[in-house]
Amino acid sequence: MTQHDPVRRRFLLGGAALGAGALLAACTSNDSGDDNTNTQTQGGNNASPNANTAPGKKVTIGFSAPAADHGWIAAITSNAKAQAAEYSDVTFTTVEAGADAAAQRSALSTMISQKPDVIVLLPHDGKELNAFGLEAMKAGIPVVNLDRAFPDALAYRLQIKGDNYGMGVAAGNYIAEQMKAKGVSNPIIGEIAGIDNLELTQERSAGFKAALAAAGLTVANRRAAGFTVDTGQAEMSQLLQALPKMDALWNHDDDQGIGVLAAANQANRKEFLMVGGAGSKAAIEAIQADNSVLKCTVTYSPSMASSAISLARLIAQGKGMSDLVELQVPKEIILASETITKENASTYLPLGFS
Amino acid sequence: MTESTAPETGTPSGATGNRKPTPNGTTPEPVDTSATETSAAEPTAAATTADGASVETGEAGTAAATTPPRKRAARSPRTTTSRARSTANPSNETPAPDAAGEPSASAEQPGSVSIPQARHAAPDEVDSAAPADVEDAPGDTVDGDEVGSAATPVQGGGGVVDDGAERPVVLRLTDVVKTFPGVRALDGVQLEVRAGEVHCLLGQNGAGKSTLIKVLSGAHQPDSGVVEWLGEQVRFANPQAANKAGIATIYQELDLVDDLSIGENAFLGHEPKVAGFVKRGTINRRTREILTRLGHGEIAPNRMVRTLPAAGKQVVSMARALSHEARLIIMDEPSAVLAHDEVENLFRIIRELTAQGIAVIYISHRLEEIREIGDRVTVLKDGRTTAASLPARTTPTRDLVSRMTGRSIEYVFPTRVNAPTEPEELLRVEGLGRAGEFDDISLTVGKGEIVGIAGLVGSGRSELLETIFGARQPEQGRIYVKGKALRPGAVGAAVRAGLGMAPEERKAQALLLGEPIYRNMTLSTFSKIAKFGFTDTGKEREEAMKVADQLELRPRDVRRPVRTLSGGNQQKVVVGRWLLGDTDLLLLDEPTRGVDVGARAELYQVIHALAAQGVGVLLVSSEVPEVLGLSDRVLVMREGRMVRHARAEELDEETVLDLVMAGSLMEGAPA
Amino acid sequence: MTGLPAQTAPAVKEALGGGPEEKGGGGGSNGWWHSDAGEATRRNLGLIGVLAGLILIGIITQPELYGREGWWITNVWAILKLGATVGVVAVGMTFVIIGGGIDLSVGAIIALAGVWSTTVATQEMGTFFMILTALVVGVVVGLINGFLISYGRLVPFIATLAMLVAARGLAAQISNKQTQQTDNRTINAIAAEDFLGVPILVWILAVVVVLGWILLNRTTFGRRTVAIGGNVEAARLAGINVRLHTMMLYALAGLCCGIGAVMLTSIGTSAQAAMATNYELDAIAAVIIGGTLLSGGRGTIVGSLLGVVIFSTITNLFTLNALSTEVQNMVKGGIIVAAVLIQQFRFNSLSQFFKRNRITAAS
Repeated sequence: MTQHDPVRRRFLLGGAALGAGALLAACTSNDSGDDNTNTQTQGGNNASPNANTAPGKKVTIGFSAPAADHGWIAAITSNAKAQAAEYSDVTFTTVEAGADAAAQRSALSTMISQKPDVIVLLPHDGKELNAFGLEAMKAGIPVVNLDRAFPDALAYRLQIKGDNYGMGVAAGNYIAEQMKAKGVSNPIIGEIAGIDNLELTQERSAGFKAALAAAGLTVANRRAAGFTVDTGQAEMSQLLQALPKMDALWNHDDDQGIGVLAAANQANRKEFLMVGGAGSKAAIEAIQADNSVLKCTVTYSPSMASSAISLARLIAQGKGMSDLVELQVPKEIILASETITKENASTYLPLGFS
Repeated sequence: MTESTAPETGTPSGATGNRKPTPNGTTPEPVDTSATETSAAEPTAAATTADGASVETGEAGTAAATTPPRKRAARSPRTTTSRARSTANPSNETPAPDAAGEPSASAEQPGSVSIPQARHAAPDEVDSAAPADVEDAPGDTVDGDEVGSAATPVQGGGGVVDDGAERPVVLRLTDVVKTFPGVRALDGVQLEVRAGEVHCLLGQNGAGKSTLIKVLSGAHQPDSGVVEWLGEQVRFANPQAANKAGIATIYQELDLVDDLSIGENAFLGHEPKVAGFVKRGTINRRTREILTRLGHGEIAPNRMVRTLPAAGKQVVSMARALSHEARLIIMDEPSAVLAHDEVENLFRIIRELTAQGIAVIYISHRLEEIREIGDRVTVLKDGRTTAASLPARTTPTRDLVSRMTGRSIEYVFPTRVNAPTEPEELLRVEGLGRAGEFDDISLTVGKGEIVGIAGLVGSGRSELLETIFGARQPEQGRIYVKGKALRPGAVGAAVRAGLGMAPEERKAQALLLGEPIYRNMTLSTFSKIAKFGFTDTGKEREEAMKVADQLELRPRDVRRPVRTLSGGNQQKVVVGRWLLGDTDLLLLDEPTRGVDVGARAELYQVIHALAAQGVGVLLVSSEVPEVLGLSDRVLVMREGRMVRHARAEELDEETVLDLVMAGSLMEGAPA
Repeated sequence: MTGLPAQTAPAVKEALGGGPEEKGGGGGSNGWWHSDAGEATRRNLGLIGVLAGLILIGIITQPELYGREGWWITNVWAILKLGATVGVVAVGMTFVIIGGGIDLSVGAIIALAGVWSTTVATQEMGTFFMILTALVVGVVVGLINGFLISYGRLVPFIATLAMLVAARGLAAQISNKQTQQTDNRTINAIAAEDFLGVPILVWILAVVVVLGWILLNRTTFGRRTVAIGGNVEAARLAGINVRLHTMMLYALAGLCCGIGAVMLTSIGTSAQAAMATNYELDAIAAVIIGGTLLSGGRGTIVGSLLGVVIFSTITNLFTLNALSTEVQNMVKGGIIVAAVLIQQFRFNSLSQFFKRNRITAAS
């Protein structure tokens, strides 16, 4: 680098920056591809129209979920939005939940003042937002709690959530079954968990451990990643070093699973079978194609947001679920964690999130 | 307004035995109380004739009313300062030419003599150094007398010797030494402060005043020497200990908490408490008492400090000092942050304090303030006491200045050969100005010419140099180098135009202390030496070596880190940096500060040699002899203005000193 | 340094472990621990010692794995690949920190560059444009950082903290909060393939480190960086264009992030807004462990590299022994503290020790 002509250099820099700006502005588009990201989830509901889908009383549904830093949360929001759009009698309003529980609470208090007919809420933290649930219920607005439970039963009208423990059990059972079928007597099993501090991670690992124990198996090495691709890859790359031969692996989250799979490919390791978690579209497609170590994933589906909107509408309209005898929607629904394999992948593909 | 000492009585020298009761038997130790008020009036009459000593106690105001006119006159400078100065002071500052030579000559003597004494003498001998100083005082007061001030005559001589005798000494420092890595910040300091006096500390930047304050306030501990406080040898482990003992320090940057109230600030750290709860009412009541004592009873103690102006904050700082029952308050340039009228108020408060027997150590650069508020002056230079306890009002400016800046060393200037008479113009500055720093400066420097700027710290000289060099953006005026206008405020442009600068603060502004010598030397040329952006350290070392040889740098090994060099050699590295480039004009700011005698002489030779090669030199120094000895032409700056411009041979040291200092005495006098 | 008084000198030297025959009695002003170049080398040797210790622990605790044919070399590559991206970022960070600044936005820049270069539109333009996009985004964001700091007079900490937040926000906006997978074979090959038996990721790291070393130690750019970090006023008064250079430092850090984004995209075969989380902390920690002064003016690229490798070796070691992540993070924190403490001991405790002794001797 020389000092002789700073003016000229500055000009060049400026020019480069401008050019780069123009070039880059053209590259931010994500729409010219052919995958439509927001429309894949509602197929299941539309497939079987029933009496409840007929337009009824006009209702307003307020919705709040944390800002998405992760595919699963993003899918929750987009699913909710898409499902609401299916109903002509639903007005859908949403508030940004901000960065933490406190921000979400303050955002929600403005929502109460707008008096929606029902609130669907994925809290940052169920314990911290429990008070809000009570407040809203007291104000006569039913609360539909998504996924992260309120400790107080009075704080919600309906709770709909996935089954973290069941997820671990499903993964464990699948692996135990496959090992037995392959005749591996003393299999080496790895686990890539999500963020270790989260209760959901601990529940998943507990279920996994219990299911394996029932079959007389144990986890040889468990690493905690960060629900992101790069952390998944990093942990997997080291796990593969620690376990030169592995028979099975459960990865808690399909998003970080992209990194886990990448690490396996980069290390050229194919001798094990891998089970995913959550049920992303990419994972289900990979299972269907059967060209990688990923053979199975256990669901923890963001489709629960779609169901939550549907049920919230029924609550607001005072209707029950038509297949049930009860005249009102039940108070608690826990989704079963389903096991997606090559055989049933095509059925689940529409529910996969990206 | 109380017991203000008359100028002559308030100027005790370091007479020996002043801890003992005084000969005339008046109140030996009452000074800080009002216990002897009533009796004080009486002895005053005797005192004025005998030794002028006891005037300071008692209700001077009332006493004055009843005393004869002569005595009243003697007291007046305190109460009506401006008038007092206009009569007494000019006589001291601008003595007749014939008298001028004498005091300044004698000033040099004690100055140079007292240094070795101060360093090695036992405490008693140190005091004997002071009488040497005193010799000046009678001379001056005689001058003053000649001019006709009725106040000064007899007591002048008598007072100086004996006056302090019955005011107890609260603080005495003997041979205090404090070293930091590479610096002897205090190198044998003597100081004696008496109750109820304002003792001024005078000295240039770096003379050791700040270090001395920190030693007194417990922030530093002296390496050796004796600190006596109220007659006992003490060693303050920390500022809290000093506070507790009754020494409070008010720093220039007031250490108040803006978001607490005045009362909370005053009692910060020693709040009156009950079971852990602060007694707000007590704080406010006691703060109000203290503020009233300071003559500011109108300020509400619960007001937030943030809302106060600088002067008000200063009052709070003093209130804090009083809340500690301080008996000595050290004020570090308290007037620096104040407007002119606020200074008057400050002085009023100081007088209130001294009236209550509290001693004040007052630090200021402004001589006129010292004249107005001070009782005695101690001058520091290079960490040593060069004069102890001179009378503040009567010591001639020249004496003070020569002791601050003066020649503790011999200047050896090389003979200037073939100084150009009509040099080709290199630098022309027209009407350069920056608000608050300097104004309307025009000057030229020719090829091979050495131009010196004389001026005190704060005269705007360093700022001027930095502005010419582009380190500051000029607000007015233009700079031309070789006839071409220089882009203002751009160091790079100045360097490309052939300017180089050795800044005032060598370590902070010029050197990478951890880096080797050669990299410091090539700091502005390594890009030119480099090929295609790759540095050529071999060539850099080679070039640096040549310059090192030329400058007789020691050590010669240019790979050594610069921080291992002495001050003089570090300065050579900075100068050498510009020798490496094609520098036509060198701006030198205090090139010999912190440089020992030998290296000074070498630097002078270097400067002359550079000029001989055709380099123009613009030099700034607070040491007048240096400016005169080195330069072809001299510019004198005072308070941001050029007050004189002449060839060096047309000026002598006294003239320049007068120009440099006198102004600051004249300033404010008419106010 | 002035001479120690004769009576205390032997004691001091003994405490230092110096021989009594050391001449001069000056406490060793020419001692090797006083020379700056020697100091850096010494510290790097210390780091290599730490690294060797960690590897030794690995061998002792996992003899079975190390005994396997060819396993150890794959483990070396695994460690280096794990640290490669942070290593590249740490090179840029080293420059910024030596220059007296700090860049908290590196992780966010990686995410932004990664996401931007993997949008559908960019991917359609091909490999070259994907890489170019990542690099240009990195440099441009770095220039914005630098501009705000140099010409906007923002404190580096604040400017880059703001960029951290903003760049992740933009990344989330562009990616629509979704993971953008890439099936570009060339990109994906970077993390998967070897060249001359060495993984390409390791090659990239090596090239960046070597270029960084040359840039820092052999060019005027590096010299200016050291000068500005060491004494910004001196640099300015020597005619160096401090502002422009400071801006270039952040642009360089941005460029490193752009390279890192390509690497990380390849490693995960995808990019997402949450990628490279906490990379700024990993990079800064590595740089500090490597002996670069956080206040600027001194530091080494090699030290930073060693810092990165030590970190990934710890991760590797803990994984090999199936120990929990919590303990692993505690150990990493401990290593940061220990490294900084060692530096302080060298520079302060020792000189203070000297001072104390000299003072007591003098009085």
